[in-house]
Amino acid sequence: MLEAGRPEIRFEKQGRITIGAVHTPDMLDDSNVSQFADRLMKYISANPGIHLLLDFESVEYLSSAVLSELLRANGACRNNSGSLRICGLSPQIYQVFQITSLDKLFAIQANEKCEAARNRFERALRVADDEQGWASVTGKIE
Amino acid sequence: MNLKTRGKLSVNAAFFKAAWPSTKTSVRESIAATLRAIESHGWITTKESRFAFRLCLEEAIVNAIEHGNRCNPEGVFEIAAHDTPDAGGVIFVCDQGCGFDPGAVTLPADTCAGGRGVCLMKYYMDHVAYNCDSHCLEMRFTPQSPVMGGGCNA
Repeated sequence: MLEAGRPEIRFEKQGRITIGAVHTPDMLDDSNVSQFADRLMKYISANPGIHLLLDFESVEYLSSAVLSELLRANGACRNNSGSLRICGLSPQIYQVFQITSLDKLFAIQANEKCEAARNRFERALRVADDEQGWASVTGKIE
Repeated sequence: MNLKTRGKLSVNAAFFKAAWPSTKTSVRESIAATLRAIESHGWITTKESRFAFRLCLEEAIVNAIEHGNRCNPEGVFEIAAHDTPDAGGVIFVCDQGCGFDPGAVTLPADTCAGGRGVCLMKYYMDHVAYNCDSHCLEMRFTPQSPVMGGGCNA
């Protein structure tokens, strides 16, 4: 029998990035996706401007219902000047993101550990800060 | 060989056939029962093919309940699995609704919430179609289909 447990997300702030470690005994699917989404959306609403890295290392299965919720969460982050990335996907789940062309949206790289993804996320935020700084300087010169 | 025609398709007699009410709990029960049957029948041989079959079944069943039977718990959906003469197989997920055309579904924009389930089924299977007369979604595969860990449809 396929058993779906109640999904948990443990949030931990590491510098500018918040890691959201998704813990579920097995799967995220139609039966427990709403619990996952509620927890995620509440945290994002309570933390405007959050740069969130969701760690899926303990997730073995997900369906398209989860993709829809991740897109909603991504929109909520972006609407408040934040961002959402995903790391730690199994090869099968990574393929699901590739098939649906969502791997680029969530800046996912194949076989990348979450530690490396966090470092890459930090660098991207620094680059964005630099670009914003240059834009304000060049704006003043013009 | 016990061949019969189902729609335009020649299939062997179903080695698995069962029906459930259109409720949330049926999703998990029907997937588990179907996976058990097709695994014992030899369709699932790797964890990759188990993942792909589970995903296709869930997408098809959720579509049948939500779009076909409009979440009416008195509505029933049925799953049947058959071998095909080309050493592949076909799974029918039948509802009591008016159906949709999976061929018309393309990937939605990144901000759009729905439509990805059909795209996933179309990727893993060789052929996905909805038969309006029988109210059945047909998911057909060959030994080379991605659902069996074979070639790439992307």
